[in-house]
Amino acid sequence: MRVLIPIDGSECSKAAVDYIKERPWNKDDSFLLVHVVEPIPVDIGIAYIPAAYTPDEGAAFTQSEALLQVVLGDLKSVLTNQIDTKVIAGPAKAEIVDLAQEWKADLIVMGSHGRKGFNRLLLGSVTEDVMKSAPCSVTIVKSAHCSKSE
Amino acid sequence: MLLNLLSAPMTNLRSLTNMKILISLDSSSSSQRAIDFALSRPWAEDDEFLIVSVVDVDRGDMSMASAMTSPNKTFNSEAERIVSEAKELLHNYLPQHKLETRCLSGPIKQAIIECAKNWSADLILLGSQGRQGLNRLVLGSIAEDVLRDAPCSVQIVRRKFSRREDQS
Repeated sequence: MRVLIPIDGSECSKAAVDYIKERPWNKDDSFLLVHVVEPIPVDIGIAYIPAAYTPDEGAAFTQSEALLQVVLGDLKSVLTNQIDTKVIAGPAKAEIVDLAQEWKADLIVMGSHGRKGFNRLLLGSVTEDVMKSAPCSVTIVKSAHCSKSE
Repeated sequence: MLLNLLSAPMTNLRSLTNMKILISLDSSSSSQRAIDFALSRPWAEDDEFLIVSVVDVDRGDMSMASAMTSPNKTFNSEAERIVSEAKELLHNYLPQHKLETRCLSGPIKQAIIECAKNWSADLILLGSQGRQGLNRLVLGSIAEDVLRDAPCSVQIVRRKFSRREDQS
């Protein structure tokens, strides 16, 4: 099974990583950790310029890569499976759904909502959107720090 | 900042190493996927399963014809057949595991959520109806409803999983 894990650095996505670490997997299951660098909310509704986010430059990408490396190390401490990482730019939902299609994911495992508070109100929950549009199965991991509190 | 958040200590709601898994089934092919998924995956030794099917008398009107021609009794025995067949399949796959079945009644979403709370489920496994277009717009998806109010993790099973080894 091919398992896609969107990581946004929130406690919710930490819950998804814990789920991957604790649950049993087959030896030939493979994982892809992905972080989506999104345009800042202010851009939405005015213009979205993908060219502003090229994967080779920018602090956002360096930080994203560092984030994924930490998660990768965390997972590799318990799993011997194939695990890859990827940083992409664009609107989170569309990028995750496209990547799931492209990478032929069987399952997406994600926290119950990456965005909280005002941003969630403004942008909606990425998880809910992904769940609706995903071409594959989706596991939404809820945990204490990430449960419904708003 | 991202890294700080990531390393922050986190208490899980419940343990992940022994989960209580609620499998919600109906007679549709999409719900069959939930059981197929369960039959294709490894599970922890101490995982427990509860297989439920909801008899939704109110939703009978979704398919007028069958609601008018089939008395509630038919719905009930259908639900019992679904859960007992699923239990048998799962028992063959996981002979050592604790398996229970339950037939619930009421609006589907509420029945599943209530049951998940009462049984302290850690994960709800359900097939997605995958309604498209107008039906989707009007009816929404039960899976989405369940996700929004679920007290625990939820897995929507979409693609049909083959029980053979998956070669990527």
